[in-house]
Amino acid sequence: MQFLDNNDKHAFTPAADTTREPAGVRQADTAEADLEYAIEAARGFEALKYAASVLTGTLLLDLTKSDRTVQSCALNEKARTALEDARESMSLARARSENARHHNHHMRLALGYLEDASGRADREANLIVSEADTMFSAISAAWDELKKLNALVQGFQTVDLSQSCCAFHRCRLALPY
Amino acid sequence: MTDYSIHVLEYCYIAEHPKSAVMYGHHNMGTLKLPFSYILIRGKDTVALVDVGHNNADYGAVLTRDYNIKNWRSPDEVLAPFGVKREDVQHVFISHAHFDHMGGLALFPNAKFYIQEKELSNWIWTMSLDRRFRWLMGAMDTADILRAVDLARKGQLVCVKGAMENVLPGIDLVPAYDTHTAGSQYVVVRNDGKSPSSDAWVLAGDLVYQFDNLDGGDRDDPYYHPVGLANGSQEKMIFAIHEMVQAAGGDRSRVIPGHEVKLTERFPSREGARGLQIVELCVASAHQSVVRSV
Repeated sequence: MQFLDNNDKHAFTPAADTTREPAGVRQADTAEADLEYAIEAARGFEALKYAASVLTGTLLLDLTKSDRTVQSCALNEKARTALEDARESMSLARARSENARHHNHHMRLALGYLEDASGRADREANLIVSEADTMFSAISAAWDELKKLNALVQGFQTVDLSQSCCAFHRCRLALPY
Repeated sequence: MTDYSIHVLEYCYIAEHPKSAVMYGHHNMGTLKLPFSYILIRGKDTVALVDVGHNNADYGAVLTRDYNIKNWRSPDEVLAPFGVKREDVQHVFISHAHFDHMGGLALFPNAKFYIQEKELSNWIWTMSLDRRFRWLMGAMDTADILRAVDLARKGQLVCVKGAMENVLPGIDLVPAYDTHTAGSQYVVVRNDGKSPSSDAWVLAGDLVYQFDNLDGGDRDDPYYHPVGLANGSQEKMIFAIHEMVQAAGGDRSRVIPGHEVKLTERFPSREGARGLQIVELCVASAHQSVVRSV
């Protein structure tokens, strides 16, 4: 499936819109479909975010010559489990609106990049520089995909701002005194 | 002879921060201004920083908004009074991995960054825990770790294991494990180059936020009062404060807090970019005061 923000967007030719519904009805349906999808996709998103964080950490441990046997192998195992969870839950999320399909498309791209990175981390006990560069590119691309998601369907932030001192300031903004 | 000029540079602030976040247990005692700063250390041929603040872009901008941070200014504006550009910064000593200390990694493209290995590895471990443990990730921007990876690829990230004496001549990095964060560190500048030094400055990061953490607000009968946020132990924080005071030759006024608005009452200062404060701790023989020239 192609969307306008794909890399090959110049090759994108929109299909004719054959559906014709009253605008108000369609808008309501879309909002409901987006909401349903957001609820169903949340678990997969959290799993992707988790895997991306852990794989980034694995790479950093390798590059900074920390003791890989202590953390990295266990971390990659966690990432792999998270990616399996993401794949399963994404397959259950029903993307019925255009926004949701677009969102799901980018989640799948992120999943692909992360599976690639996880495979590389698994193969290399000690990453050689070129492999690290490839893994870095894959993880960066995954983060880029994840960051696009909230603009398509809300509720998919890559940073949790509800914790710790952040929470105080959020309250202050909502309830000034 | 003083080897380094040291200036505390405010780059933004929170107008109203709860006192309880600064002084552990001081609930219902109102709010105070919390300046955010980094510290410029200049030697004869050296430009170094303690911490880099945060970048007001991408998620940094979201954090600025959600933390209600005011008057953020870029390093180029903040460093301008010294004739220093961000590209000129050669060394950065990261006190800990919170976003307001480490979020600006990308702003200093030519610097080598020094951080405690334990700070990074513990952060990564924290990220690998499940959602029930997410409080531990408070004040951290996960995007910073990707920037750290990029620096590591380029050979610009040094993971320090324990104390590092003379990281630059007369400058030491000292860990304070399991305190404010798992791998916090403070910076000791021995401005006479001697050890022990009779001209030492201790740049505390967030091991103390304000002077009150050093004396409990009681100048006559001082005691150590920890900051409000400790991912590690308040007990260890108190002993880290004691260590820092010792490193400063017992002179509490030479332990420089990370978020102290009253620095301007103790040291010469002037307004810099858009009303933000420049505080002058000391001036090297090779430099002129930026305060007196105004």
